[in-house]
Amino acid sequence: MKLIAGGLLLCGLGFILAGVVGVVRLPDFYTRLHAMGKCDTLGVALVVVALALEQGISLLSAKLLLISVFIALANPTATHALGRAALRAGLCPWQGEGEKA
Amino acid sequence: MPEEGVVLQPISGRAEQPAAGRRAPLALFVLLLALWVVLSGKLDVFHLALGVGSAWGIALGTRRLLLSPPALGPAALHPFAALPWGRLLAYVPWLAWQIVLSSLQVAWVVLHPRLPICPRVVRFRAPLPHPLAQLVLATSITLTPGTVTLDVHGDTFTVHALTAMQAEGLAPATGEGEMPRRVRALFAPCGDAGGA
Repeated sequence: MKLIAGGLLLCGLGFILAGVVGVVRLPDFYTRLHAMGKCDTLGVALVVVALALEQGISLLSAKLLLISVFIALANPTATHALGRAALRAGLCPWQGEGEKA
Repeated sequence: MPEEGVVLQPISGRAEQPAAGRRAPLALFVLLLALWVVLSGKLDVFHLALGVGSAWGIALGTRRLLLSPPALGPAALHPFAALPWGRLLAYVPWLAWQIVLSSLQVAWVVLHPRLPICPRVVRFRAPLPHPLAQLVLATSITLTPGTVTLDVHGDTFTVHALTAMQAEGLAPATGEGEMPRRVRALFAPCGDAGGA
């Protein structure tokens, strides 16, 4: 059980790391929105599930799972609000260098 | 999240609610009480009574809140009653799997030395019966890494996608994307669940 929890924890951290790298590397606001809003969805869920496994079946693990449910609900809402605000403010998405299909 | 484009309709007196709509506050009460018990962890009479009291108060107090226009669900039905819970049980694991798949995709793209992204904004129409269904689709799209719902106006979804492949998966040149089809099937009337 400890091994599974450790593995999930590492996977989750890997996704969060990918998200951070994405924020640094991607070219514009919208693409960064993908990196930050999203890798969290899976990354945080994996970390929280790993902690719940480590804890075993108890009230504490139920609370941990609730956290991941709330994040799964709040995350897209916030991401959508940011993206919509940017679109309404007239921010043009980055289209790539000369590669407009 | 209610859209600004929704036409506000006058509150039509005291419309009689379907039976499912009247049971919705009860479902909310049970959910809130379960949340209370999990969060408090104390099972003595005093704390349970506090939980019952506040859960009942909230369930009653918000009973009309979600029913007033602009209505989320169909025909002034409480969103709790309008959600097809049974089909959601099948939809959520599929969505979770999609999230895992596209997370891997996004992580690969981001960590790739050449950063092979091809971001684009796609617009597509998804004929869904009511705003609650649109909310489920918009949230599913945003929850899936690599695609963000930027705006919903009427039937038209504006989505920003990180790669061309993801844009095409959602709005192929011909036919309907996988996710819009599933959400439509989710809210289709009974007996017309659409092809699995």
